Amino acid sequence: MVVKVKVKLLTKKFLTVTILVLLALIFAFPFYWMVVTSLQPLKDFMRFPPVLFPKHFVPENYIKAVKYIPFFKYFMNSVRISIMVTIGATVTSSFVAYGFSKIKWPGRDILFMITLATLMIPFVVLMIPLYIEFKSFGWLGSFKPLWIPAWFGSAWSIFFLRQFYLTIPSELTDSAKVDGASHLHIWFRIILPLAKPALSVVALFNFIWTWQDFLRPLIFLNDENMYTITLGLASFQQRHGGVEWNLMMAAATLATIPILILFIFMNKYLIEGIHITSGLKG
Amino acid sequence: MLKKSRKREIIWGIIFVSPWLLGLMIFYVYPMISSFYYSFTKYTVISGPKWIGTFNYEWLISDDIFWKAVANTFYFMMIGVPITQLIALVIAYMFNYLKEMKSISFLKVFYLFPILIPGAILAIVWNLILNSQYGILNSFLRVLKINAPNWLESVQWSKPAIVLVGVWYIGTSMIIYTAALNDIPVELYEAANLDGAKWWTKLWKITVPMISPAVLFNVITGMISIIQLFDLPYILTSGGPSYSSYTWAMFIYDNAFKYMKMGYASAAAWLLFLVTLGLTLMIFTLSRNKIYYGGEG
Amino acid sequence: MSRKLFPVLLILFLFSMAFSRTVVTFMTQWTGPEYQVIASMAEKFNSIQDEYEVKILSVSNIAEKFLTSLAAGNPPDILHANDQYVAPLVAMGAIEPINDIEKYGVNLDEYRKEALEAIKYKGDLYGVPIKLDIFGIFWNKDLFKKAGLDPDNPPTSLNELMEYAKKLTEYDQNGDIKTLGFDPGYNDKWTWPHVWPYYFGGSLIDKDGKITANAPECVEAYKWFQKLSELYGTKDMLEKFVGGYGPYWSASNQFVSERVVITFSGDWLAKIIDLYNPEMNWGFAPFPSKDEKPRAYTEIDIAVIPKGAKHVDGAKKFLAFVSKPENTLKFLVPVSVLKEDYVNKYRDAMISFPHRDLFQKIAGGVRLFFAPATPVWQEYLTHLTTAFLDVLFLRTTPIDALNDVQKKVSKALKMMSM
Repeated sequence: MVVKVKVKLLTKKFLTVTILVLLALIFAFPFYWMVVTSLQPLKDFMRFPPVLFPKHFVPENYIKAVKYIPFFKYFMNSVRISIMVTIGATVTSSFVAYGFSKIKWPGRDILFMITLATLMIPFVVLMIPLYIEFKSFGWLGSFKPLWIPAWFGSAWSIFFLRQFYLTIPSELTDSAKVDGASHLHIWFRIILPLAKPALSVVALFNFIWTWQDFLRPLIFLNDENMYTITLGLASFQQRHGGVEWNLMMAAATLATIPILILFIFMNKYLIEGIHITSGLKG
Repeated sequence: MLKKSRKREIIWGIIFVSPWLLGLMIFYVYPMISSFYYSFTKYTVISGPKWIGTFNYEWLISDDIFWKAVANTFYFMMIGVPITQLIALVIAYMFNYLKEMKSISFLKVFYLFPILIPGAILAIVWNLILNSQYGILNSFLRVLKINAPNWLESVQWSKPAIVLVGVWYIGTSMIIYTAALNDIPVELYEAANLDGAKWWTKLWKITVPMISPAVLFNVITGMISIIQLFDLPYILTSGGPSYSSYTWAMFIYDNAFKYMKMGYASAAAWLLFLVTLGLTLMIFTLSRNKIYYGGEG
Repeated sequence: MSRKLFPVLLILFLFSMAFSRTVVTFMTQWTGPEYQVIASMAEKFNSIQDEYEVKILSVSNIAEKFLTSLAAGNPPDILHANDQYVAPLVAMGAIEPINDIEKYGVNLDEYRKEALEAIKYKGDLYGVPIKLDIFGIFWNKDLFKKAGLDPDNPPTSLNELMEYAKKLTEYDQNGDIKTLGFDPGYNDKWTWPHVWPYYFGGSLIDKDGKITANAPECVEAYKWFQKLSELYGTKDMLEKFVGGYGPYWSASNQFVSERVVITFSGDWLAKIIDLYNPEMNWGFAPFPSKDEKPRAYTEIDIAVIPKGAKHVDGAKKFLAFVSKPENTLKFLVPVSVLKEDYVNKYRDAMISFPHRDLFQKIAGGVRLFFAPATPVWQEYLTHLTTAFLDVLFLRTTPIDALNDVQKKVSKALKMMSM
């Protein structure tokens, strides 16, 4: 009887593993194909019927790709901007979200709704007034328009962290309050350590979005030396001059390296998830 | 005594949100007021804005392309949000089921890979998959003897094709769901098992309430991002064939930067904003009693 | 010590100010080798004078970038635009007329008559022509031979073209289209719906600028194309065939992979052929005109000076430099904006370019025509594209499609004049 149950359980687990692996391969397929194409010669680009497992590789594409555009310069620009935005957005949002979740004050929920509302207007509509504003601040010609706003907080991050903070049981904070702890103390010493996994999720996504952002660098940067890697990728495409697809894929693959590194670092939190209960026990 | 501490609470509340409050004023309120003003003007961007009152809004109502865009956008929302959230949840549930197997957990990262593909390459990748004759998907369907539609070329299938592509981007939601599922205290399940609870009961009495804040978050952010859907249809179908996959956000963009009718585009943007706000408020209100927050401050 | 240092620093500062150059920005979509050409031209210009320094800014999405900077009073000094973008900008007053450009040394006489037409609007001169792309039909000589047609004789009349299209189309055992005789633009991103009325002797606007989308010649033109589609088969057959198209700029381009025998495209299709199927034997000829007077659709790039540009004098000086034949001939295109005699005189300045002789010869024997100049061109083109594709894919009738275009674009014109 026990054996029967055990076998049933194992089959269920085995089936689940198979499905997850299969789906993972399907989801990863576009990326796989991008990398494979980056190692192909241009003349074979998208020849139909498509060859999914080519035998012939041209790694020189990578060397040509980093010479075609000032790859390293653009790459470092992207790194600088993404790090600045990630730190600013994560730190400030973690601070602000506390005010939206752990303190009761009049107007809080209305302001929170307004915060959500900022996510509801497409950026293209705000673009021109923002540009005019940044010009009057004298920020054009620098990276400032790209990273300073993040230091005031990011609506998505604030929303996410507020939801997370709301799941932290009040018992934890109540006992500290009774002992006379200030909000700053509670935020820094109790909430933040518990929120480490959520904070790393926020940091990861802010980094990815900033790294992949195309429109803001396009609009606010006027000096090619300051271009980001996303703008650099666009310069592989010529209107009627042909597209160096394989080189572009090579550059695009190289551009994913920082995010892949982040994936490995965030591994711990992504895999283990958020464990408040273990915090409780400890 | 009580009054003083109450006052202190209020001050602390405002202090904590003050950086955001300031940023809100500078980077959102001012531009939003500008764009609201533009919506009552004729503004080609080249010449300054010229006040024309409510004409833009009137014209929108009689613009059949606008209504096509609205209808398509609602389609994407009504079909796209439930499908993507459900799939994300089911996959997260499967990962949670195997949570002791650390090596399997590593697979989660693969589901985030689609974000790594830059926009310029998306069209090529999806042509490879959705091409009517040589595409991977149709080749697969033909093997199964299923009728292979002309995904991106047909008026009926262009929207489903885009929803299909949208499913590739559930990684973020899925990660959030796995975190929420992992977060459920095991003791709750153990106690339920002791009471002899069935799988169904455990699902609805424990799992669902415990992940309800995550569901609310994902549904709202999913809805907000799908209602602004632009990149996928812009790159894959240009909104066609015959405006069958043209979205509200594409309408705004085309009018702003292609036709240089910034005032008209701003009016459409403000309508989009109001609709999104209305839907979000509705979701929040309807879910008020159903979301379980352990730590309301 | 510091008392002596200050005047020295002051002098050095004033000295550097006198020698610091005014920066003139040139905004373009060019990248890669084409970008290199204009960049080295700028370098040369910078080295032969010390008043101005020209900086080339390569931008991929020029509409957003240009309009945003214009809105804030920060436009580039020179914008590299094409004739279709210029007409609306000119009509809306976004560009400065440069009627005095001849004083800077520009010789207008060196340009082809049609190129000069494209840079003028309502009597004023607005830019300097840079390069042009000529359009026509490309045909696959090998597949002509296979079908029993003379490979060196393209169709020269509309009737002949329709005949050939039918003859060259092949079907597979399921009844699906295997090879298409003539593709006039089934691919929604690479189609030119606005050229056909002109080949049929009509126009999209009248001499007063009124919209004439549903004029008889336009309807006749679209009827011809719907007849072509009906010749091939049903809507589903067409959707299925076109759904099998790969990316235009790749090895699975429909013409390059020989699934389409005749196609309408710009001269740059030759680049795709050279890249992905250089062994193919092909020819290029003008698309036949109804009135048998040879003409070819052309797109021309123009350098213009936006309103509000801060360094107009420097911009004009650079444009004059670019307009010198030895410089203009450096642009990487087969057909030049210059007249034949100037091309011959300065032939040595040209960078070698494949198939130049072929395209130059065709361009010499046709009248070039462009998209009409109207302030609502972008909307007009969008609506025409939808109409043309609906007609090609048998979703609607030509008269309904064009009536709809007429209605929408007339409304847009009215809105614009409010």
